[in-house]
Amino acid sequence: MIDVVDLKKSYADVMALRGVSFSVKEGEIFGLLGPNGAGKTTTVSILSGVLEADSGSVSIAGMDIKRDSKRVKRLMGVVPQEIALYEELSAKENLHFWGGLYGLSGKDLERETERVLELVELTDRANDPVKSYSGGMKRRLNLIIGLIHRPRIILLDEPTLGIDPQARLKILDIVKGEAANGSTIVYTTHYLDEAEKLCDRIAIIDRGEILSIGTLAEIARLAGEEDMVTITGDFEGVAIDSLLEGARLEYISEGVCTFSVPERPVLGGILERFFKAGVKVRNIEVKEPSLEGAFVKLTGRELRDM
Amino acid sequence: MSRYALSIALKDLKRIFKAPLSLVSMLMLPIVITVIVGFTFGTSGDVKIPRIKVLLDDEDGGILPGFIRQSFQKVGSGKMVELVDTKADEGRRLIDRGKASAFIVIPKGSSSALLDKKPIEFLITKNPSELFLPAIVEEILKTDAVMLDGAVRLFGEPLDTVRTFLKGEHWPSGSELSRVFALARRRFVLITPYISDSLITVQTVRAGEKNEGGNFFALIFPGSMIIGLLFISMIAQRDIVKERARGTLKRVLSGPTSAGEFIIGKVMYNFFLTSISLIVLLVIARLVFGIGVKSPLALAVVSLGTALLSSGLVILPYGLIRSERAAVALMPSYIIVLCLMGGAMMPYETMSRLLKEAARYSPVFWVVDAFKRVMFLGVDMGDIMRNIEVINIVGILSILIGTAVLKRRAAKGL
Repeated sequence: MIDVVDLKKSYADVMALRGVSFSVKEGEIFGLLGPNGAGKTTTVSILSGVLEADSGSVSIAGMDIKRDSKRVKRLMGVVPQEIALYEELSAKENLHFWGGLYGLSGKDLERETERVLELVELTDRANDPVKSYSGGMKRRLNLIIGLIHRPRIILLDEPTLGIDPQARLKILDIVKGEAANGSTIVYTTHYLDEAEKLCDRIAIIDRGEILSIGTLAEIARLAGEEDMVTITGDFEGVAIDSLLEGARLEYISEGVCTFSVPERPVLGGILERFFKAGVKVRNIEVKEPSLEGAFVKLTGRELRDM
Repeated sequence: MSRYALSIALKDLKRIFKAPLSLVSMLMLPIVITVIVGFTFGTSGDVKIPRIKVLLDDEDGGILPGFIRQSFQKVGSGKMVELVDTKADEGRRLIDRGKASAFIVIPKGSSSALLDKKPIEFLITKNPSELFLPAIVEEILKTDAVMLDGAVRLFGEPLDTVRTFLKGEHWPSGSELSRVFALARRRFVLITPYISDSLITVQTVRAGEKNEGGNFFALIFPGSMIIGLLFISMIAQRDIVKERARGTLKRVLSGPTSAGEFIIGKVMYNFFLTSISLIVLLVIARLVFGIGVKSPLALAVVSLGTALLSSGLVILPYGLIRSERAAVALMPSYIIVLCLMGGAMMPYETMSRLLKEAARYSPVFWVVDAFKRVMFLGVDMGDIMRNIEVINIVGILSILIGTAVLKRRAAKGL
């Protein structure tokens, strides 16, 4: 549905994109995960036709974003990072204006307005001026403006920025619902958990480059991530080092041992040796490869440090 | 007209009417300025309109210059026009130095030529550094010409008879006198339905009130009005920069609306807003200051041009301003300079000669002058054609250039 090939973009001396390429399949939720300044918003701006790339191409539903700009734009709904609303107007008036720009009018416009207002539970406040809304309510309205014309493709640029967990969950639910209805979604975020929970595939982007693309498991594997196992028990008098064959010991102290295993059968063998050696095991905790771990390995830094 | 542009313009109008504080304060501006200047210069009819100095070279010495003298003395009960007799050379020297508003030459033999129904020509030289005061002189003289022309055509026959009597060719007999009276009477009967209203007028003056000359507010209000309109345009156009900062511009451009359509929408919004504001201000002018107009068509045409011009004059610099901070800092200064130069902030007639010359290069001058003529002198379209041309050409050109620059910038995200 979306094909991005070798996008490059620079602002003055800063290279914002250094040859970004990816494809998004129809009906897929595709995540662009990266820290601030990684190039996510620039990518979305180019995809939405607001910004022109220095080089490279974007094809959406088989049409070129530059040549068939108007036709492509009609297929898309864009939810920008900023709360892009007219605060003097009510939610309904905002929706009428934006819906009108996408060609909705009359009863269709009314029906779609009601539909999206119900979606985010804003029907009761629909006629109040937006300036009287809370941050979460504004975010929800910001989201549904991008959905009012039932777009086939939805571009969401950090739509949950700075809101409370409840409103965030609501927005994630709506995004999942839109995907379930067949929309193709590009979702940028710097929240790892959002990417993990929501996206079918993820691209990790940093400093204008795509570092890795795939499903969560694929990225973790590509990054060389392994299962991390922590066993607590009674190790006194038993030299357990010799029992950890095939694993890499990370940490050991009295009653606690942490090690990593490249694959699950290795863990089975270790546990078998523990039982044979008479080691009393009280708890086993297995931490699967995480996106966070993969991200750290790929970028060399934690997301929260950026 | 683009559907997208119209949607944007209507949405913006809705927004400003929902939060009208800035608009109302800008609409109050002309009223406040007019009231302050009005009180400063005097109220209750004690007007201090600059006295119009008119130089007259009477080479004829007949009944015609006498009629013209009387008509000038009637204006503002003789307080408005100062008529100074002068010779041709001195008159030309004085007008060249800008010492009077106009110089009129009545050629020798004009009175006889008029009675002989031969064409005659008054020569009026206007002070080039003034437009409004010489225009008053020109209007008075034109009115005189129309009245004299009509009188001679109507009473030509009885006048001819009277002239032969005056030349002393023979003393009129009773029947000849009866014929002259009959002719004159017939003419009076003919024209009575047309002139009866203007021959006798009843002026109602309240006790304690003076009534000397025109409505002084009509001289001040046009300038104040254009100041208000330019500031209203500034508010409207500042919205472009605000939309960029707020992210709504990006959102609009991510939809099927092009940058050009967005900017045209903003220009339309500006034009609609200034037009509505202008209507409100003209209604206020009528109700509060008692300023009426004789030619609604002239007023409508000037108003339309003014809405175009005030939109264009503000859009143009916005094409060059890059941030909201710069807009806030620069635009009021730009508007104040434009208004000062164009005679909108102080009566043009009180400006120095140099400033008067400079004023002609400010489009604001042409608007103020046109409104003054329409509101104060009650002139028709034909008398303000030059103003209308300047206003519309500058307005349309500045809108086109400003739109093109803004369109290019909007395409690059402003």
